[in-house]
Amino acid sequence: MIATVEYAGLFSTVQHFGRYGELSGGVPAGGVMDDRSAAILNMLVGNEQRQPLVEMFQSGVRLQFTQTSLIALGGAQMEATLDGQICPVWRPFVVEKGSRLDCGRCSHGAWGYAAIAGGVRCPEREMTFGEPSALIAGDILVGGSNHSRLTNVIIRKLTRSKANSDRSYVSSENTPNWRLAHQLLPFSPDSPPGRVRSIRMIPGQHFMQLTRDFRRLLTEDALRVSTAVSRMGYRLETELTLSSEFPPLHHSQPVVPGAIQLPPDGQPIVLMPGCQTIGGYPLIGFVASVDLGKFAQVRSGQHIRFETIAVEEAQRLYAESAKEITQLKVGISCWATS
Amino acid sequence: MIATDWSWHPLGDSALQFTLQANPELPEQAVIATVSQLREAIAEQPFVGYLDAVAAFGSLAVYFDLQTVGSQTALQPSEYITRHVLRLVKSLPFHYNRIDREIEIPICFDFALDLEECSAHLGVSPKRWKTRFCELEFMVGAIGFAPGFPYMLGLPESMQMPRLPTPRLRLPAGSVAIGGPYCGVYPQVSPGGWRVVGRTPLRLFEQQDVNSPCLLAVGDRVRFYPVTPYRFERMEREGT
Repeated sequence: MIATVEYAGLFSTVQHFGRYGELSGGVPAGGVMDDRSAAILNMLVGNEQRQPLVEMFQSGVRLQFTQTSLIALGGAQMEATLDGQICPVWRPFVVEKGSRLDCGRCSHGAWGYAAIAGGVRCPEREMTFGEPSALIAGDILVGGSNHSRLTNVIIRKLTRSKANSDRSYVSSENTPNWRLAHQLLPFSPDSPPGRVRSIRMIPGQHFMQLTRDFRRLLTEDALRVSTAVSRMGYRLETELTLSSEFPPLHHSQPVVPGAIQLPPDGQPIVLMPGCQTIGGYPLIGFVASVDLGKFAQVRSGQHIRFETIAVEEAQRLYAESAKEITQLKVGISCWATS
Repeated sequence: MIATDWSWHPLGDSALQFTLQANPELPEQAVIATVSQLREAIAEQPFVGYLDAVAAFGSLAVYFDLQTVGSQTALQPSEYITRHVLRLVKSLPFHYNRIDREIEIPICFDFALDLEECSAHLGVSPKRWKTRFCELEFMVGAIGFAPGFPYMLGLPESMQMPRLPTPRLRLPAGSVAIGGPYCGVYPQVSPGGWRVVGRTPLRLFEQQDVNSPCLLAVGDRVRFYPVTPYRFERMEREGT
């Protein structure tokens, strides 16, 4: 047992990275909304890239730790505290047994993450199929697997520096002496929260059948994320009401996370990792996998614009992003063993 | 089967969609069966990086892990996967074979909510409507909306009903309903806008059955047979 959930926040789950094998039975794959942030946080605590972790929507969990653990927080910008003191984000730190971690509110972005060394499970909320259900107060988090060797090295390194310090534990002395490069993070500290985000998309089969006005609308700053957002999909709003010119599809077709559907009311829906497996609306495009997590972090009321790219370019960008995360792992091992 | 019958296009950067068009020589039922056979062939002989595949009517989506595929081949991912899939297409039987799976589903019409409207629409008595319904042979064209929910084709046009203007908020599990060209069964308690014509005691999606949670698969042929409320309750209790 690692910790007890004292307060569960708005919608928190122990989230995996997508489960495949039953899509043909209509069971969604699910998985983290911001996969890049989640993978980076796993690296920071010495985990495998795709170990389950705690995902939080807008407001974070409060955990009472019953076991000393190595953790890292990130994703959305959170105002997290450990026993009342502000704790670091995007850096690994040790939480001691008996400590209380309050992840606070997400002030910038929508989805916050807490990665715990060894991975984490919530046996009460686990599901055999489909999406895991939301955590509730009183749930118990248990360890997923044994610590990796890297985790143990990181813990030794961080607790050694603690012994040298008289100051309270969460101080600059006890967190690593490095920061992640801004370009690795979904938000750089100096980017204003209201900035219009550019999201790369691959045009779909029906894209060229859209009117020129509608295509322009998608690539300018006129799209806003509505309040209808969930793990299944984000509804977008446009200032203009353009009705869709497509007849509905003859039959439903398979869909994927990132697919941009155009229902008859002309307000696009972007499908997210918890989406259904088939859908009946025309698909005008697909958010590139490399940008889906970034898009997930856009909050209701904020504006976005789409930038069209070729599918090969989207695949190349994803490979580059994967390489950065691998390099990060190497970097962390070097620091830990130096 | 020959490869030229198929077209394909990317479904984003991590999936490819293969499509087989219906034509006079290849009716819709044959298309559905063939697409379903290809799905099984890929699941049995996957390429490295394969995640899953979904068949829906004439389309097959093949999902892959971009990172694994990228480390596996120097080819573009689409090229690598298309080659593999088209090789499997060639191994499919040239002539369409009906698949053997035939499933009989008990239905108790006493739980119908919209039987009056349906029979009035067809201009027959409810009794006659039920007989007609049990004579039909359906084919599962897709599974979706909810885990285990089948979209079954085979409803003659005269029996097709428009969906309800406002969906009902809560239908019991097992509700058998028709909407547009489809017949479906709600495996779980769910909201629904289709016309409910009865209920089945059969469980279409078994959460606990890790190996095959879903009773039906795309391509299955389905018939309904009537059961009394007494038999319905007994079957439901026995879980058969």
